[in-house]
Amino acid sequence: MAEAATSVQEHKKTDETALITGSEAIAVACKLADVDVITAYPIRPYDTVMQYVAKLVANGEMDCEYIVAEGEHSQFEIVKHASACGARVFCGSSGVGWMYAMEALTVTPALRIPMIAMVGNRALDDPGAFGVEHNDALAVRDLGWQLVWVNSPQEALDTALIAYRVSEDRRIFLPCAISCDGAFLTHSQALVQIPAQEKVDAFLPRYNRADLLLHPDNPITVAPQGNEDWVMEIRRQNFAAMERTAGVIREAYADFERIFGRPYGNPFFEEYKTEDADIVLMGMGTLSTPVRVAIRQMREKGKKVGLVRMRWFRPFAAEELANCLSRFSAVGVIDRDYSFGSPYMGGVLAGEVRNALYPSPGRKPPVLGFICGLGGREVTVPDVEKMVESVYRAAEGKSQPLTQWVGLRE
Amino acid sequence: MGRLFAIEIIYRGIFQKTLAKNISRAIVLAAHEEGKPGISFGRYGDSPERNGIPAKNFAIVATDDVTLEEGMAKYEPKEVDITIAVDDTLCKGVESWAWYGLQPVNRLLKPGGTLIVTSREKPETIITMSHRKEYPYQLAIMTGTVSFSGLWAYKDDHTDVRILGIISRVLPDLFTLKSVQKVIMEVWKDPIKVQSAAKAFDRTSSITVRPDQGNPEVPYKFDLPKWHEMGEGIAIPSIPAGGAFEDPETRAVGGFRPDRNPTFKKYTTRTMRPVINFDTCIKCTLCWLQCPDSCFDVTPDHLYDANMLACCGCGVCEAVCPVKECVTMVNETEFADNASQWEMWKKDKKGYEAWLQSKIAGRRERSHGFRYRGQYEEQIPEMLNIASEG
Amino acid sequence: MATYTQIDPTQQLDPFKGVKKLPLEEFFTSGHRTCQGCESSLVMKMMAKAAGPRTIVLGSTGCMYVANTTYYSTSWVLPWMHTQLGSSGSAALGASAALKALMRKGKMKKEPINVIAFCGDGGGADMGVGAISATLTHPDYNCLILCTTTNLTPIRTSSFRAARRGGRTLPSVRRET
Repeated sequence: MAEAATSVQEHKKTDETALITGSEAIAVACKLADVDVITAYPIRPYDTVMQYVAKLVANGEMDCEYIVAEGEHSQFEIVKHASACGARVFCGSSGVGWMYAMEALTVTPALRIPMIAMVGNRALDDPGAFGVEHNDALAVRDLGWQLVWVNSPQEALDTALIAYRVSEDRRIFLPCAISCDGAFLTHSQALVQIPAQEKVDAFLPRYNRADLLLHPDNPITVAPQGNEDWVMEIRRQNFAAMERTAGVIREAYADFERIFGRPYGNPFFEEYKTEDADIVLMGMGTLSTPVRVAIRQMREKGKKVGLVRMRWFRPFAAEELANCLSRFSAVGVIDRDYSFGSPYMGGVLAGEVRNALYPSPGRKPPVLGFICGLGGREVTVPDVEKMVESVYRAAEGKSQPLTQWVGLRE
Repeated sequence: MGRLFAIEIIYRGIFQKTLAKNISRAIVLAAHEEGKPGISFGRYGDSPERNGIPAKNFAIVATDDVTLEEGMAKYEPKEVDITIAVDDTLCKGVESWAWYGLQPVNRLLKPGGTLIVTSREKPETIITMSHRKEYPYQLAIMTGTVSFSGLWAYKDDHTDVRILGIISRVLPDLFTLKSVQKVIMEVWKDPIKVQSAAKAFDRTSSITVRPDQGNPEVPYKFDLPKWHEMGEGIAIPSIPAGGAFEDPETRAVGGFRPDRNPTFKKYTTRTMRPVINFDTCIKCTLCWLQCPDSCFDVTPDHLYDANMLACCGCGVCEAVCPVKECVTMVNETEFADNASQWEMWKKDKKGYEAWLQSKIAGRRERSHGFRYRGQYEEQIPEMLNIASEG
Repeated sequence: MATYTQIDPTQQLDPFKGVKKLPLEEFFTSGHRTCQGCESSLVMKMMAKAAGPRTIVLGSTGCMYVANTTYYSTSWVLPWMHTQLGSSGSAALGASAALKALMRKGKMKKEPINVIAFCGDGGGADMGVGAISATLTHPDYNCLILCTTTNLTPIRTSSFRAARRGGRTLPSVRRET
């Protein structure tokens, strides 16, 4: 059996190429980062990560405590406390599994625990579909989690390393959830360049919990019960940490480029063919792929469309995005999520984009929201063409519905 | 321009929770009889309550709805017309859950406001216990034992309605005796309770407490730090481990004194304190071991000295001590400070012995059947007698 | 599980041979806002005294959390961390797994450290049963879960109405929450 292309090999100094899924890429990142404690609980489609980690541990390629919990709530609680005791941790879930852990997810950023979690985005029950929807990860958006969406296994691996670097920075100490679309990222193998261990060691320092370490040599009382005299100040500290995060993200990406030689440019969002675009579409995750295909086809017909793909949802680079969007005549935001009852019944990302634009001193193009691809339904090129047509009409000043469902049987 | 009234009831947590709530609600209902709207609430930060730890309940009344808003959406009023302390030892000060440091019993009282205290003590004793106030206030004592009325199987001694009667006498603008009697009848349907209110009204007497009267001690408090002065990650340093300490007489170093929580002392929870006979102590260690609050300092000569800043008066030490009257719980009103008994004893053993015996002999029982089964039933007749005779 | 895995060595603590030989050090001290005479806090004190200074304590939500620690103040001398109501099992497991991994990998000085997680009857016997049961299936992690009961579940505070009749309440006891 030809090993070189399909398995992960251990050569410290040289980069390797492997054919792996987004999940395995994150597992590989955990191995490279020498994670100490990993907890797992099976749920599709995140469980591909737990399976690969299990294999790495069983093969002796990874030295960590690998614990299968009896439920997601315990799963996340275990690593939360392991991190408080100084261990580098990794965890993850999908859909309602992530929701089952919600109590633990809530307290993790409050306690300044730099947990890295992979969310295999999956539709929330009911019905229990396995396909991709973003509402699971988005549910923690107000709580102090960093949230990032990746759209390829390469980006998954790189972002995981960057996430450890940023989260475990003492100035930050906030958890990060890396979202990988179910199926398209979690279950699809692509060619990934795996960096040499030496490079990772140069990029990622050891986790040092410093003054917050729970250990007899550092006797502290962590999280006594507070009341209205203290909560606001405690929240303000998290606010300050999140304020600092964008800067630390920028530092990390700059270092990443220097050490690994892979440039990402603007960390917060990726622009595709926006230099001369009239209008742009926006979205997160793997829906960017059919959008790019559609954009190329439309450009052949003379339509100058671009794509702005958000990576980091939290912290949200509002000013940068508003600056970017001011160059275009109209914007179409594709939401692979829903937010029933929200303003104009728009999806979450559409709401955030409008929120970012509203105070901006620059031009504020019309923003149309499209709900598409829920429950794993493919976002197709014809879907994108429909959206583009509508956005062009908005750019021409014609009235368009602010929220449209695309790809629905109606 | 309407008028806002505020009344606070300071009580022993859990034990007097129902009593305080009943008084507070009756105040609002009585004022409502006269067309004044009001609200009643316990101080949120004091709950969940714990046995004995002081807590507060408030009744806010206004002449009209608009003025009432000035007293709403708050945890506690800035000032009150009347402070009711349903346990006289609360006059030493209140360190409750929702407060940092020691809050004098009369802290919120307006100039000329009235402090109503249920007690069997004389006014002088009450005044000496209370902290000084920068302006005069009135003190009205309602003769009575500490009441657990409304709590489980404890006897109703009409403390609630007697206090209501006193309120109608000292603050008739809030409600008249007739109004509160109507409410008492509606709520309790007991004509004797209605009469008790009237008797209390008639017997009300108050004296003026001057600014130069009272405990001159400045109560301890601390300022709350700013957000960037607080440690991150909701983490605070643990208490340092304590250590041996020095005998003031022999200079020997030994024993163990635990470091204690600097921001919460707990001694205002006390209604009784243990007095210790160091001469009869057999050093069995049980009081020290069984104290849930780690009050006992182990002295260099291996005796056990209850630290009076930490002791909350639970009485476990008395219950476990195998020697008769070696540890005895004595009414807290008998004591003026938190001095160390061991140090007193070391200085003057004979003098201490005499002091100790006088405390044990002279103590006035204030427990609710604390010491043995059947004791409460024995206490009931006297309690009811005091309640009806005033 | 077919094979037995060696448990990391526990501390060799001398057993207490009588009350007069007890160590004097307190690792859980005064200043907690518990009821007068609270027997649960007495348990905390004794547990801390028995466990000694090389101990990490995880406390789940309950009286021993809300009453023992109120922000900006604590009664603990030992390192202590809050955990969720049903998480005492998970917290114990997480802390001991971290210590095991870090010591094995040379990231932390090797020494036996006690990990003790406590819960009340509500947190332990109702909500936390799953986590505790799972933790007990891991003999390769060295931790202790201490469940205290006052036989008076539900917990007294009005904010936790977990169940008006918890699994551990004796039928003869009723309590206002």
